[in-house]
Amino acid sequence: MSQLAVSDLTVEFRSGGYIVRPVNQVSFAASDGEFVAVLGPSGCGKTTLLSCIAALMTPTAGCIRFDATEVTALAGRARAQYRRHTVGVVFQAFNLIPSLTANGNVVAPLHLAGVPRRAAAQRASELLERVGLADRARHRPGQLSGGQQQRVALARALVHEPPLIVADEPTAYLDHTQVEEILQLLHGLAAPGRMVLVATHDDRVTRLADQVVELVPRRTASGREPEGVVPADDLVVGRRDMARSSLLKEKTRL
Amino acid sequence: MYVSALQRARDFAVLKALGSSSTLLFCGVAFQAVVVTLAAAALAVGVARILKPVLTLPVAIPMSAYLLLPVTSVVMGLLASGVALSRAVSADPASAFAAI
Repeated sequence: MSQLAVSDLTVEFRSGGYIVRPVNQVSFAASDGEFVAVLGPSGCGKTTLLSCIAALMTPTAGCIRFDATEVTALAGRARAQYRRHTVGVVFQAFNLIPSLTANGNVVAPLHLAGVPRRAAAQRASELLERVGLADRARHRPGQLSGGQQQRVALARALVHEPPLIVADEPTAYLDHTQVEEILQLLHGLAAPGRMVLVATHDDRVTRLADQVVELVPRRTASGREPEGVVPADDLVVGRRDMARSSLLKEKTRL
Repeated sequence: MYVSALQRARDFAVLKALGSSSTLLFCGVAFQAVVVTLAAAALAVGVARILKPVLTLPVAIPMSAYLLLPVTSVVMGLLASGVALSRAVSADPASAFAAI
């Protein structure tokens, strides 16, 4: 039974002379088999939160645990192993490699993991069949519709049967019919042995969710800021020279 | 290799997000550079052999040149693909989430 625990997660970085804090002391937990919607308007930190959970980004403060693994403490090879075997990532823009066929895109992460060529091809065929694209295996991304590309991306995310799937606005570039197909597939993946986290601002996702994590950046960010820090918009919480107490500065000083 | 690296910056980020290590990407790009330059060297040797009897000007190609050419090509290829190698190693996997 997998468990995900996010505790007081904060991400800060510098951009254009400002300190940006897209994620501000976010905490939540998710259990095995759950379909979790991470909800919020554009720019509220959904993607950053998923990046940290998928070990693609290191937070400034806070902790992420997945089962016994402290994700935020992983580095080097252990981090790559976690990305390879524990997390399956589905991107908003599909991010298939354009020079490879659908089959080649699914095979690629298997090759990275050292799976023999024949076994990798067999596994890719099984997964493409599972997402209903067995007959499009030799097509390149440019020859597939958006929904089909996202299904290939889903098959790619499943190559190692990871216990955690994170999907960043997976329906953003799809039409109504394609959205339903992808949501059905994603929802079906949230079963014993796996949890699915979907960042979205689409109500159709939240209606399916077992749990909704809502990020409200302006209220949470400005409410916690010390004097002298002026929230400029949903993201920017303080100018560099004003944010004396910022976590980024504290960390830099250490 | 330079242009190819610029075009594939996003692919490097995606591959890292899928679990590829920097070392693995470095080796992959370096291998491609070696294959491309060795193929170019082989082509050059073939063309030289074809043209040598055709040219009116006497041309002498010592055997050492044939041996040195692949080595020089590989070294030059790896140096020329330095940018590609650097891009592969430094690709930020989180950038794969950026919308197009």
